[in-house]
Amino acid sequence: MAEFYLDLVGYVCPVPLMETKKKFQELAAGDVLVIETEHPRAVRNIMDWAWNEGTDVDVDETANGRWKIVLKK
Amino acid sequence: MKKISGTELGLFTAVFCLAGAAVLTGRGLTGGGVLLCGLGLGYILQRSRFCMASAYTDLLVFKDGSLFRALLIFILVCSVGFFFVGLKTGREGFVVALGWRTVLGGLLFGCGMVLAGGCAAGTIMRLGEGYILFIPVLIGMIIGSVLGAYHYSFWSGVQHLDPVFLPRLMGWGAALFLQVFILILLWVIIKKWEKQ
Repeated sequence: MAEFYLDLVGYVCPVPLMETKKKFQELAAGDVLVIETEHPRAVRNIMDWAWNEGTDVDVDETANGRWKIVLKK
Repeated sequence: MKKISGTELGLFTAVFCLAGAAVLTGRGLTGGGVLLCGLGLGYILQRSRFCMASAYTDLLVFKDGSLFRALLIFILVCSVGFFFVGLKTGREGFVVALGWRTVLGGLLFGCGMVLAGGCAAGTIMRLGEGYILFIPVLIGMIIGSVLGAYHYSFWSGVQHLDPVFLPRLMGWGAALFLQVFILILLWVIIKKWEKQ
């Protein structure tokens, strides 16, 4: 039940989802991945991907134009 | 000093554009309608998170064609709209002939768009959101456009095929039918390919 953090601030599409997929593969069941991004399209990308995979996803806009995404494996 | 909220800034911009459009129209100038269209399109672009660059990268990198299919619907709506404009006014589109220059330009623009993270409209929209990353992108876009405009006469003289404007070849009705048919076909092919 470890928590991993991925700082994707400053990256544009398609890097955020690629990095997320790569990191998510390394996770063990029950682990949590926290992602921070400021690219609105990346938020949508990651949400769509998580829904397709059936992964638990939680999105929170922490500040104007900044999002925190929590994925649970 | 009180901080200005995004809603206040948005309302101010909308009022400013409306007033600008009213002034332009009042003086008999044509820019007013364009200004309002720009405001509306910008709003839709921002709210829908539509992104021309992602339409291609999502499809090719992640095999997610949802945005690309949205792009096809967008072209379909434009085609139907332009069909009525063309039918009523008889005006023809500004058709540029195909040649190796088109392929080269498309590749250059495509690479730049994906590396920068947005096409021309997307860059301006994100800059308006306050996304600082796109300031250098805008500067690059201005430099590129100036260079392009400077070279334009050279490129228009480069070897190319004859321009093809479907409505002139087969009439407006048949041209619309063919275009809609091809777009729907592409939509179906991509939908099937995604599921594989």
